[in-house]
Amino acid sequence: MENRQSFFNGRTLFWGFGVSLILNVSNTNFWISEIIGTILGIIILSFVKNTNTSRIPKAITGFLMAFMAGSILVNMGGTLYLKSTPTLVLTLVPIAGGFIISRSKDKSLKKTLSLLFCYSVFMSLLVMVFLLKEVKPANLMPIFHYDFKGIIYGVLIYLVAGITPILSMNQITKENRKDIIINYIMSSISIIVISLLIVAVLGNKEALIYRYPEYAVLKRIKVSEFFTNVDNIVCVPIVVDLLVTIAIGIRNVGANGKISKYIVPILLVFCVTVACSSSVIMTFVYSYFPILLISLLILTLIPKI
Amino acid sequence: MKKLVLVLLVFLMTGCYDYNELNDLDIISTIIVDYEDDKYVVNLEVLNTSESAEKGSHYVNGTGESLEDAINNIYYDSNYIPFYGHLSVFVMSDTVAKMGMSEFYDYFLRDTDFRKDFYVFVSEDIESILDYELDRDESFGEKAKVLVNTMIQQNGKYRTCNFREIVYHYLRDNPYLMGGIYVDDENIKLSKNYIFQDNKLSFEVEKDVSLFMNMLSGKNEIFQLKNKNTYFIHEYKLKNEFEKNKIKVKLSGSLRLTNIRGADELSISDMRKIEKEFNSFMEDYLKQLIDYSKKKNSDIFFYNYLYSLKYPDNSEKDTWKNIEYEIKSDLKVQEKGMLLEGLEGGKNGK
Repeated sequence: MENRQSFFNGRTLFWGFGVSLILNVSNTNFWISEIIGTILGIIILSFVKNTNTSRIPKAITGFLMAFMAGSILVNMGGTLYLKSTPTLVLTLVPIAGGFIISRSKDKSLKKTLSLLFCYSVFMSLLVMVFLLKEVKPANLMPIFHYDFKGIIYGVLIYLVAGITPILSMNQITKENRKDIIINYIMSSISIIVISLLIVAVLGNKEALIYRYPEYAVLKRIKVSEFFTNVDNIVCVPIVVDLLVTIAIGIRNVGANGKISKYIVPILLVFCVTVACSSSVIMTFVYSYFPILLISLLILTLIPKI
Repeated sequence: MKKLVLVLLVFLMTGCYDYNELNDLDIISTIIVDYEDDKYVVNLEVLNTSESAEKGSHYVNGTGESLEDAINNIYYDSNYIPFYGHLSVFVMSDTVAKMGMSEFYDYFLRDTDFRKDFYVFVSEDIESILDYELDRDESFGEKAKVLVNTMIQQNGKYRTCNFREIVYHYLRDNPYLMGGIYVDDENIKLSKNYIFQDNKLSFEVEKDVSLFMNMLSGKNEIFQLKNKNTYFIHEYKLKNEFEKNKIKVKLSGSLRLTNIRGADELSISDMRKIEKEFNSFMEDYLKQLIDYSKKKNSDIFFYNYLYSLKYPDNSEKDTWKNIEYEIKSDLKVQEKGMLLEGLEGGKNGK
């Protein structure tokens, strides 16, 4: 059975951060940035011999990835659905869930991820079918009005948001390299398709104003009058991506002692609650998120490349 | 330990902080906004969910220095929570429309509770709407929404934007078209169309502008036009093609003859003549509408924006005014109804 972990890791940081940032810097050239980013990502994943598996870098990257995924999930939940729920309660649920998943055996985790992969693919196809009638090709215009600076920034953001979680959370070996690349390609295709749908359905200007354009586009699903407001069902794959990354992040920290294993989730709950309780911190993370990811990428790659 | 965590989760996370009973909600169908004595006056149409209610809805009202202030003032001493998931219609008085409504946009967009596809209208007679007597299971918002959908799809000579369309034009600095609404003789009337420029009511337009907008938007399915004869135009497509020095407006589709005047026979050559005459009439008709927008100095059909999408480097502020328009109509008579020939011709045995 293939390990689908990298499929989920490769998409996680695009929700709430990546897609929105790429659209902001590349505008209607986002697709060029994403295609070039995918190609560069494949090249990097093909050439990296191994990643830094030393305990401390692995723990740092694992914790920060879980922190970012947790922050996105909690912030999204608090903004879109549960406005009155205290941030601490909102944080407890995904972190507790991620912690329980992280304690499961390798084999059962693999099986669960395979099933969730099928579910994600099915839901993505369903979303595509529902949104196709809302697509307005004019929204993708002007297609060939290049802004090279924007495209390059877009490529950079795409690259770090796509491959940093994969490299920092998966150990690349000769045997699993092919699996990881295939999963990366699939996650990239899904991100490109979703970005295309966002711009083609919402319009490029609208896509820029929303904090969660990937969610705003799901709000457009409407089949006649009776099948509306289904965004909360079709956004489950996004939650799954984030939850899987929280779980793998906690697992990578590698605290297995009788008491120490609880310290990581408790610390995570604390950090995510603090971050999500302040718009200043979230805006800071949003603005400097590519720099944070580049640092993590360097931490993952430099010592052993 | 795992079991303990699970047991705790079961007890601690069974409820939800954002949970609301249906009975505690005020389901809002319509927002009506007026401006009096330097304050916004807001009336919210609340759907009556109780089966014993005599009317389908009732109004609650409040005032404030801004829209959100007025809404907040309605509910600050109420046990009910406003729910905007069923919002169908937003009506503003012509006073509010002339003052401008861009300050509402952020509020509606930022708040996730609001639906974004509600229709927006301008009313010169807000009182007639508030006095409208509704029967059981009826709501003004729902009725107006059904009516506007029917008029746009089946008639075409009336148009108003929904909130999403307004935001689309607002973000692109395009003018946009809004429709009028009032109640007369216990019936909802949709009439008059206004152009909004810089997010303020700028001027009233002819009905035919709405038709052209509906044709361009692809929302209209069928409409009726009369020159010598009367026709239904259906299964049609209106396409804009942009060239560097020219905008081509192409109309193709089907005609259904509904009333023939002064024609005895409908032979092949007669039909061709009818097609030719009507296509020429249609080309003139569309040209007049484009000329009308030039005369009004308002890019009503936002050709400048559409042109800039294709030629961003060639687009200037007045490109839409100076560029050549080539209008081509290619409508074919698809159906002529139950009569073989013109009625007069049939009567005379032709």
